[in-house]
Amino acid sequence: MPGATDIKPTKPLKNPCNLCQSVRAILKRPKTGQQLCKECFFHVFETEIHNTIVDNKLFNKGDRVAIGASGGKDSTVLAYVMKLLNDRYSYELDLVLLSIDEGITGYRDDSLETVKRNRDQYQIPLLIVSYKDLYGWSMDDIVKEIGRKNNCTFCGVFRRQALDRGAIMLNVDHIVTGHNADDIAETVLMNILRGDLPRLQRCTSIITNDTSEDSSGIETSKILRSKPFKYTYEKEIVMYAYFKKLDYFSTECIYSPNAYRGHARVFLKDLEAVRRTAIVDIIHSGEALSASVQANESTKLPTMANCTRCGYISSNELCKACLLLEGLNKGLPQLGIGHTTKIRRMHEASNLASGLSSPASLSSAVADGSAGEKVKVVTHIKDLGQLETMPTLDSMK
Amino acid sequence: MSCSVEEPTMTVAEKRAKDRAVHVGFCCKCKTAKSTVTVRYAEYCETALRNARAYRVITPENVMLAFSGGPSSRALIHLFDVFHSLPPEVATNKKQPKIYNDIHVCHIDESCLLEPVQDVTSSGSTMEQARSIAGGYGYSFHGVAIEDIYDPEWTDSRCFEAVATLITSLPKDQLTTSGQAPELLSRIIPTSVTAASEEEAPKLSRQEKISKMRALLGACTTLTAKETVLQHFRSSLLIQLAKRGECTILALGDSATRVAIQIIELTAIGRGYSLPHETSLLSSWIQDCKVIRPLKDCLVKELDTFCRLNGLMLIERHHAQLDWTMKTKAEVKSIRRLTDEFITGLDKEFPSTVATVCRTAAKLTPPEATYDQKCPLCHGPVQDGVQEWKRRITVTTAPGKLETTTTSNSTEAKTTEISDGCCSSDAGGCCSSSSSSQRPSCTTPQTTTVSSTSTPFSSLLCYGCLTNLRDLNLKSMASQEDDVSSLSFELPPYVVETIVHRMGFASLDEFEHRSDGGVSASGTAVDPQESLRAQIQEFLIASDDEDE
Repeated sequence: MPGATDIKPTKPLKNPCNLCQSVRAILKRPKTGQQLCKECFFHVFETEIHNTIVDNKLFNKGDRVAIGASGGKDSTVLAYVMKLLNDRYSYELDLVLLSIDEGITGYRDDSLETVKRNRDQYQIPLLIVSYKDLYGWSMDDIVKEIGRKNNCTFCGVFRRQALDRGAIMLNVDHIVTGHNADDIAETVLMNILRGDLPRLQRCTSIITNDTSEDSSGIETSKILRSKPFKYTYEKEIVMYAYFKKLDYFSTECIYSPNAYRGHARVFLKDLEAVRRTAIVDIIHSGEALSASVQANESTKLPTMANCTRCGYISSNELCKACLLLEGLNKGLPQLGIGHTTKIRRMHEASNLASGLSSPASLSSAVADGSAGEKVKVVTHIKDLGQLETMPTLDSMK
Repeated sequence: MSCSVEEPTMTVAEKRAKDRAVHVGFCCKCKTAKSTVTVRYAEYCETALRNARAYRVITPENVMLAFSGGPSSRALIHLFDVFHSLPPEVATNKKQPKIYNDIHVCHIDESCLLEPVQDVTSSGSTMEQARSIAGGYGYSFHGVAIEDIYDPEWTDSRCFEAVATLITSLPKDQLTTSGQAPELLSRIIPTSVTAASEEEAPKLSRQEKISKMRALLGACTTLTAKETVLQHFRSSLLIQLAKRGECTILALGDSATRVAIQIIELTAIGRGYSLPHETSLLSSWIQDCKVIRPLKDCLVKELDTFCRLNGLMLIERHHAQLDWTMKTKAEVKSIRRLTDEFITGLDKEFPSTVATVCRTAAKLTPPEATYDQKCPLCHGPVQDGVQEWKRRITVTTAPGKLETTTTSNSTEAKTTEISDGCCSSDAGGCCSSSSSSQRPSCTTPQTTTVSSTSTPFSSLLCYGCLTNLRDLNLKSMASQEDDVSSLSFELPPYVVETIVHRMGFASLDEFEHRSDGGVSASGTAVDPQESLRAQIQEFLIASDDEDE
């Protein structure tokens, strides 16, 4: 990178890079439309992420940071850039890769191979946590049970929790995920369209933490989550991966995506085509709007408590994951999809009827589901601390 | 409120009734006549009750109805009329509606932007149609043409004789090589329409104003930018119209559909900060003029039907069409149109979309910002540090300066703060502070003809306007080295007025006086910018070599 500007060409270049003026431009930057050379593009791309990390004080020195890795472009570039910046700017972070195996044949198994290659290429340790181990159900099993509709609900709810559990196993302080600017902008639009003010407020914050301020007494993970790619365009991530020749997996999930979100995505791409700063502009608006929400008392988030069954943070007695799991195990997969109030009431009623046997039945059901004896089923977050038989980092390698 | 006197528990109302019981049998208002009516535990005589109605309207306010000619604003006029012809007790009993003192109708004639024809004085004017519609209701009518935004009269001071041109702090050749570098800085040079010495300013002809208007729109490279700028002009004129009609309320005909589209559009063009003001049922952002959107709950289709069923006459071509300003078909797409299609399409599949979006925005609290610090272009609230925010997430420095990147960025931030603070407070000599982002260049050659001291511009803008101005054609702007007279477009007086105010000057005269004093007292050699530069010298990284 240094030296690019030192070389002064003797005759004017035909199409010089807008920044260094000394090398021929080979790409048009999606975010600004500038014509850049490869080195300058790498520089601006990496510096922007560095600025995001520094300005938002994402990490402290010596933090142990898990990189949520799916093998897709975003997380592959994230892993690469995190390692690069960690070395270049001496963040002194202890990086680990954390992957979730949803158990989707033909999709996740292949992408996990990519993550494993990344592990070797970047020399970052890797932990894979699978739904099968955690919940006794793989996504393939779930889809077999409930069909192709609504299965994203399961996947999303389980993944969020699985990431946290994996992070606890790894004993990290922080999880970084590869959410990019397009994702954030899309979420801003989605939350306005859905009228979800609490989420509108949260979705633009770069750091999210499962512990709310007043929950000091409640046992939750103190693990922070952040999105260093918050201001990074999806197209530029692809471009970066392309020019760095990074090894990533580019197949879409085989189970169908959300139709409503699809609309917003298409719209966002149209906007970007009309004005390339639109994505950043939407994020800026989103940040301004979230400030406007904050002042409004009526949209406070529900108070957080712990799930009585697994100890995971939840706004109800039973967390969504446990509720979904109970539905699956009882053969009532629709339980917990959509509005949960009715279902929760049903659950409470059945609890009263059958005494307090259901928590036990759940864990046994989960235990039955997990085939191997070598893997202990974790149903309570408290267990994780004392866990000895869980797959450790070394055993995964 | 319940009227049952036999209520066992003592309510507030009952307590009040007990207090009033002192005058049992007599009117609680005049306390002289026998009471004949009991309302809410209070006894009134007939005359007192009849008179009390008038006091219900605490401050009778005048309202200005903005009438474009389209179905929504047409329905607005009709509904106001319907409501005001209701018997007063019906009209005032409801919580929501309010009787207004005087109703005015205003219209902005945009016919000069309808087509690329040069003969603008010919027919196509919508003014007479609008006037006759307003006349039909007996409302007083106020009209203005959109090009009058260039008239010195249409400003807060009503005679602000200055327009402004934008210049970039980068020389032209650098602009061409750096492509669409977002670091571009626009700067403004207020110039009197006539030379400052001349007393009698000849009025601008309509043709001149139109060509100015078209020049500005021509300098915008995208339809989005054109539409946004035009919208700012419209709102500025509407507010002026309302103030002139001595109305404290401006009523807009925005329908729910329109508001929903606006919410998404404003979000997409980076105007989230001012969004609550621009879409709320009642906004008190503008000083001395509330803006209301009484039709915010009606779908556009309902209003269309309402107009049709009532046989209300509409103005066929009332809205400026800017398609002709674009060269190719592909460019005829703007964020507004995309949003329009998106929301309309989504609403077909998910019929609650419009309502949900409107409700979302209705729950937002407007930001706390001071009106004096409004954006010169859109008169909206301005957030601090937006330029710095942009700069941090969109890096545009070459990798060679790797070490200085972060430091120079923070330097620029400080520069911003200094120039901002200086401009908002009363500070002489800051008129030519380099507005933040660019290196302050050492010399600004003074073009001697007009008072051409450059003033900050970018640093005064809100995020949305800053983004919008990125779509200006840079080549049409002069750099500091160029002769100012060769500029191709000008910003209207109302923009300049705000700039001058934001810089702490009460009037144009004061501004000219001060800046003249600053420059001419020590000759043209001393640039006020230099003195500012001296103040911030310690923060500046040696980037001067680039400026030469």
